Amino acid sequence: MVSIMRCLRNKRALNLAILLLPILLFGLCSCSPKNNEKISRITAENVRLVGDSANLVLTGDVSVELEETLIEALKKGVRLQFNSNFRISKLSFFGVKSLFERERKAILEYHGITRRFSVNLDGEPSSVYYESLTEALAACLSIKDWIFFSREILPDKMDGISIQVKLMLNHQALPRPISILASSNQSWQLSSGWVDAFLEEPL
Amino acid sequence: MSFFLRIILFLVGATSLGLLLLLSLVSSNAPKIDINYTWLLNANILLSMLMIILTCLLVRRALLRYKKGAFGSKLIIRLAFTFAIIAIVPVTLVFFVSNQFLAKTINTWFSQSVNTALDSGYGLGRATLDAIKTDVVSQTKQVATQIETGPRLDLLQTLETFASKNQSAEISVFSSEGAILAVEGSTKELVPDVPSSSLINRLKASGTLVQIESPIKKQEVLQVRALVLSEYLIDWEDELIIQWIEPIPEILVKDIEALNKGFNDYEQLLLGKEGISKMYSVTLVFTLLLAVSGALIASILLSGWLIGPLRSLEKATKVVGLGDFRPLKTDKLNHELNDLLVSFNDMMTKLSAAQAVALDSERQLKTSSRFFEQILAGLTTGVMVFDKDWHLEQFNSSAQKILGFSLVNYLECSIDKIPIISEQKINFGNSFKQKNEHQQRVDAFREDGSKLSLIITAFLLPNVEFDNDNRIILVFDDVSVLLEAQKSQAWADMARGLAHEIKNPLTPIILSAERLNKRLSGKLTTDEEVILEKSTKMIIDQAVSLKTMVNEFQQYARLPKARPINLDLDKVLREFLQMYSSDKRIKYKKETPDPLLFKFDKDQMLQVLHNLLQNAQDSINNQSKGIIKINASITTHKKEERIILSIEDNGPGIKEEILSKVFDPYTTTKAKGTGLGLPIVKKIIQENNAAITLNNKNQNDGVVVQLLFDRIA
Repeated sequence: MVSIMRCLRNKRALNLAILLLPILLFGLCSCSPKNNEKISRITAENVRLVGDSANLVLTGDVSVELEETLIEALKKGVRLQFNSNFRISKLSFFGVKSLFERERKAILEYHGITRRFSVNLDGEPSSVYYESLTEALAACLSIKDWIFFSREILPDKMDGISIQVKLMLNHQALPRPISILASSNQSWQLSSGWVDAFLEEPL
Repeated sequence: MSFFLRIILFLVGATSLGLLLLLSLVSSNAPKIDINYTWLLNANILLSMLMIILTCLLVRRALLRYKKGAFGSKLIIRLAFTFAIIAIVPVTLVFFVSNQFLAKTINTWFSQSVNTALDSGYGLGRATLDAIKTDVVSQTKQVATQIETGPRLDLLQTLETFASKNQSAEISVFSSEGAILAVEGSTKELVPDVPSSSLINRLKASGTLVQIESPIKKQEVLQVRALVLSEYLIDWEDELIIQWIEPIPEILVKDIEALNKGFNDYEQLLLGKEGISKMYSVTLVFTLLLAVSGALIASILLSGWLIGPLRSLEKATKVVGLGDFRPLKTDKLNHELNDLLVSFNDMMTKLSAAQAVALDSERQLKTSSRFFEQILAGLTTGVMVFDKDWHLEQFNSSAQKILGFSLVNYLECSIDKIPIISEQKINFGNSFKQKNEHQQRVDAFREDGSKLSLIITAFLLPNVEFDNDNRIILVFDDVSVLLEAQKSQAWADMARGLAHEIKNPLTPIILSAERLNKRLSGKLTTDEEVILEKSTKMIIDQAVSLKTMVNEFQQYARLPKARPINLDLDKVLREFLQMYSSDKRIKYKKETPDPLLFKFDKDQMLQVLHNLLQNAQDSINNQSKGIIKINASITTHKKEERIILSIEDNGPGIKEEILSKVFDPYTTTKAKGTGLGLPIVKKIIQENNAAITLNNKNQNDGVVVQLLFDRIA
């Protein structure tokens, strides 16, 4: 003990140790192996609101690329919940004011024995079954005709108005152990982020 | 430790504990807790870091105190180290054992045989369904072949034939546009299950289609739908769609669902194995960090709490020496250290009381000492205290006044070095061998030459205390004035007696001599007459002289009481010197413009001046350049102004052996002097509260007489 005391008698060394210790710990905690993970991707392009003078409909192109790990997990019975969010907000001096919001939760599940993909939208009592993953993903993430609303929701002046769409895999809905894995694995990071949608005026 | 730091520690500790509990609950996948695990994890990391920083700060603080050598820091370090070891070692052991146990427990969840069985069951289920699908497709194709080859009117019979073989099946025939042409089988609905347009499109693309599906609104039921497109019909102008729906037996569906669920659960468990392990490990790591930090913090706090009273005691013992007896702060908890503080406070209270008594005694002692000092200072008797080695320790102001010099410089000095009384060490030292008290008269001269007669009484103080050495006290009085008075009185008495005895026969002697001269005058021869004349003259002269002397004796003995009045010396001198205006040797000078007012009996003043001037004249009679200077001036002594009258001649001066006795009666250097002039002067001066000194000039070329009077402002 005395030798430890002698080592720590240097005040500068002691201060340095106190400062470095939490940094080292934080480094250890935050450093996770990457292992050349492949990346799943979900993109939304050409997102727009189209319609006539009275109503507006959302449309756009969505492409989904699932990494093999994710497909494997799906085929092992893991339920994937895809959240689709749509919002119209107004940026002002006091912050962001939400004018219109919608969320869609689509649960994709695979039944291995019957080789069917089922999609349940917003907790409806019955699911829709699909033979292929592409169809099922389209059912989960397609934004075409998802949102339909009156034009009156939009203000006359569109200055500071933001229309955005986000499509993502919800990790919180995963079973906890898998959720922990997913949070630190790039294969499971599936989100389009907030994508701006533009308003397509009728010709 | 500050209250603020304690609060922070408590808050951080409590929050960490709460978050760790939440993490533990979330890790167990509790359904009611919907908290973002990542957020919780980050919060735990943050608080753990905070705990570690706080712990490091506390440890650093303890180490710095140790480095500075603060009281109790060594004990704190040792106690903290011991407590920390006691807490950390078991926690660390539990951590590693738990980790091992967790890893092994998780591994036991998985078994190769179970895995294989589930895979096999999974495959079997798929194969069963595939077999059903193949069978249904085969039968549908048979129906299609029958329809294709048979006449149009046999359609229903054909369907009935197949349906009768399989009573659970529903066989339908649709046109290519989806119109129902015929239905047979166990359908419970009025309208048969029509394939969707997408199915028809897919069928048209492939010619045959089979799928397992759930009927609408019956998710728990499975059925096989087989669709076959008949294109080469003999009796039909359009294509036909033959649909066979075969419900899968309920028991099989249940088995399939159970198998699928079991397989999925097992696979998910396998998939989440790493996550579970990581989750519990993270929880355990945080538990370990919290426990270790908590143990270190608790050990330092506990050590500090233990050391606190000791530190207070240490500080208190230091300030006790400075007279600070304030009681220490105790806490409300009942423990031995608190009892120690309470005992210490009792002791402080008693010490405080004792100090108050001591201070009171000291104050009384000082008062008493001051009282005695005041008495000593007020005494006209000189008092000097010597230690056993005759070193001066103490004296009063009268001692200095009597001896005529400051005794401060002689403190701690031996009596041998103190003038006037330096010889007394031997005298009294020998006397103390016989008795502790001895008295002696000492005659000496002060530094200013004045005569001093002391009656000294020496006391040897007994040794009454163990640290009190024998001390010697000299108590003395100046008896010079008393002796002078006694002497003067004696002379006066003698003069009075002599005058009475001598004066009485003088008149008859003078008368007899005159009568004798008168009776014998002319009756004797010339020579005899001359002799007679001479003899009678001598008798008369001597008798007259004797009478004059007797008169002076009477004057000295019967000096009238002084009646002082306010006089201006300058004025008195000028009036007086008019009588000596014929003597040009007398020079008077007033050296100050201020009036020289003083109090004196005017007649006696004139006599004093006459006697002194007579002496001065007598002393310069034989001088060719004799001169008498009379100066009047003012001097300041101890803020009191005094008038100095000096009468200075340039005669031969007075011999040193006579100089000290010039004021004694019958001391004279003149052939016809009575020796009473200066004694009378001194007596008058004393009667009028003035002072006189008579000294030879520096080079013995004359005498200076100085008279000192208190000036009236």
